[in-house]
Amino acid sequence: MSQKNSLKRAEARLGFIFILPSLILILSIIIYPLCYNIYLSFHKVALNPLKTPKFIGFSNYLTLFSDGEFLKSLMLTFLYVIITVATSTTVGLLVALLMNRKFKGRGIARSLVILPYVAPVISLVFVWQYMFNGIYGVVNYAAVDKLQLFNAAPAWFDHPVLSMALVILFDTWRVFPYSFMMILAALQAIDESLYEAAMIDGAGAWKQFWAITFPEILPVISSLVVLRAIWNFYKFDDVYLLTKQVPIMGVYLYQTAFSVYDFGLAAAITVALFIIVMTFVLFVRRKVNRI
Amino acid sequence: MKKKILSSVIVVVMLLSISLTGCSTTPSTTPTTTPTTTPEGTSEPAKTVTIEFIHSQPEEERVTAIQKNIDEFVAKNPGIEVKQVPVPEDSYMTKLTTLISSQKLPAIMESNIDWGRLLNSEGVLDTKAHTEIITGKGKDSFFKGALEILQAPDKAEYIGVPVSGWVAGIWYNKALFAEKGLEAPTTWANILNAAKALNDPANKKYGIVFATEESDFTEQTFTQIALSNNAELFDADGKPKFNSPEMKEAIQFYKDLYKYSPQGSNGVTQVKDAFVGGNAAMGIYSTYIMGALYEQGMADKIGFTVPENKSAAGFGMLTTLAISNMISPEEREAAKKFISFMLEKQSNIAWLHMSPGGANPVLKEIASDEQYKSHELLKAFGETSSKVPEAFNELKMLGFQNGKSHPKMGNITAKLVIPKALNAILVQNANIDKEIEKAQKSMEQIVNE
Repeated sequence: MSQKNSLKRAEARLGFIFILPSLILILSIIIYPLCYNIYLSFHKVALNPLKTPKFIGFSNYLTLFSDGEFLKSLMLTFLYVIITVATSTTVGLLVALLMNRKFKGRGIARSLVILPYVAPVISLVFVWQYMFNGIYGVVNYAAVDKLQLFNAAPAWFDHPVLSMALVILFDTWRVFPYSFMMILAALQAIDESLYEAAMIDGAGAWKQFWAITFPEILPVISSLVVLRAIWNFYKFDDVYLLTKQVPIMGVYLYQTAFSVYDFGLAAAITVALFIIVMTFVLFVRRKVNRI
Repeated sequence: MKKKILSSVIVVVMLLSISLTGCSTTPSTTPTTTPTTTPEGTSEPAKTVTIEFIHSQPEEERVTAIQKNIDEFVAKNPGIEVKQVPVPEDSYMTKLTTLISSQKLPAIMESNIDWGRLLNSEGVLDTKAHTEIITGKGKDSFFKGALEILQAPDKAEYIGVPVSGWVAGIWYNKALFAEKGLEAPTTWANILNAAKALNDPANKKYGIVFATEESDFTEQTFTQIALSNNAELFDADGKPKFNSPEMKEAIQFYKDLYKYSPQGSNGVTQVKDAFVGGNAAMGIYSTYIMGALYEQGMADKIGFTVPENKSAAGFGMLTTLAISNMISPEEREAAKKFISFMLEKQSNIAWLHMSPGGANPVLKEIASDEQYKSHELLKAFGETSSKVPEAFNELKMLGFQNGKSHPKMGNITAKLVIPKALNAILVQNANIDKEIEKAQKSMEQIVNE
């Protein structure tokens, strides 16, 4: 009996030694920065490390929550995340279903679809800005000069609603290939015999989609939604480069804290965002686990 | 037992590899001992000091030009090695702030007035070393305005050593002005009159184009308009006065001009494209537009003026070389020698010719030097290019009053208070008084922080 226990203890020790490197990695690159960030959020932090951070209690949090722009930005971010995640996943799903069918030139078509995702953001932003330019942009040339839909070129990236619509469109267009690739991989893993059996039972394409395809790809879609929601919650680059009229959370964070190197306030904002995102992730995980 | 030994060995190897991966090589800024060949040809061990020079000029031809200067310096100064670290401009400040945080700031940094203010407020600059270099060269060698604007707010020292600079102003198409019999756009009345006369939006031709987006560019452009109306940002006690009548007049003038400009948030790309592309008769831009105008064969067709109302307002930005205070005394001396070398005629001209027209001399002797003026681009602009450096004599900036920079000006600029107000008034058509008061309150808040 005691020999058995001793063996178990030895195995447990060996197991612990094996996970030790991973544990050290997690502690050093996740837990330590997280704790340090919380520590910074209670201090006024200078850029120069030789100047000691000054403890200011909840001052950074009070500044943050008393700023009406923060709540406005938070609401705008939720709206942006919900719409972009829904549209990019839906478009990705539809294109994946199309590309899963056999047709001539499918290989080339699949490669072309992923182009927006692999091109550098900055070059895409420039292309879009040129497309919507009031003097020589192709969009205004078509909509104003040729089709005469407007009297003058609309302020595409200056009107709050138009610019919100455009950054959503940009994100959907840029990231749907990611959803497409993930869903396509899941579609290709579905056993063909399931469809054959469904056809014998007289199920049509619509029925087959809801009874076979959708349940099979649902885990992938769930993961996509969670990942995309987290990524878009912190979105900064393309929105900031395209317009200054959509102050989503990444932009707010940059403008409020990083542009003036107020790292204490920046830390407080990231702590608040971390709590929001973790609540969302835990909520979604619980929901997914029930499925 | 064997199993235990094997697993222990694996763990040790893994831990070692992780710890080694985490160790980065520190920049070689510490003095090292290497054999040096003396002028007599005998080889003997001597101390070699290696310093790093970080700059935001990563283009291949500029790196080559800088390296040529470095090679010449090193040949004249045995015992000193200079390693250049080119960083793209958009990530330059991020790189510098990271280096500050890790206390590994290189010996020499390319800087400018705005960055210099920030670095100085963080206490990472050796302002005494800068002053020693400038005094060594002779204060009278520099254009007056160039030195004044670089004075530290709290002491009689400098936040960098100027090596070049750009100037902003109104570029205008001389042929279009002549066609309509218009006077050069120097005064506010002339500018507004010309913008109105040359505006033809139906044919995508505009009177003027200038910055309106929420960025530094808009603040820089507006600075000229404000200062030409003697509209200062602070009163004698250092309190903001963005709501002064002079400032409101300047904003109103900026708004009046916007009627004859392409609509929307215009930034660097839009302004440059509209003017160089011939869609705007006037453009407010820096001397960095000269390269594009030259390439389009427009050099002799373009005029340059500085706006004037109650006074003329030359606005520009200085490129400086700054020394970090995170280095050893040997490195400090080597850095001083290198920057002094960069102020010598040959090396300074080589630096200026990296971006001819854009980078202008801050040293009087270089501005009038035939070798400097012999560059094809500068010759093509003729009188215009020789007039530009003179603007450094009367260089003005918002927040720089009575020979001192306001300590919070950097924060006001970084928070884009002025560009946000102007964008709201011009592009979003917001109420001018409300936006001015909003910006005034933001500035008061920043100053009282």
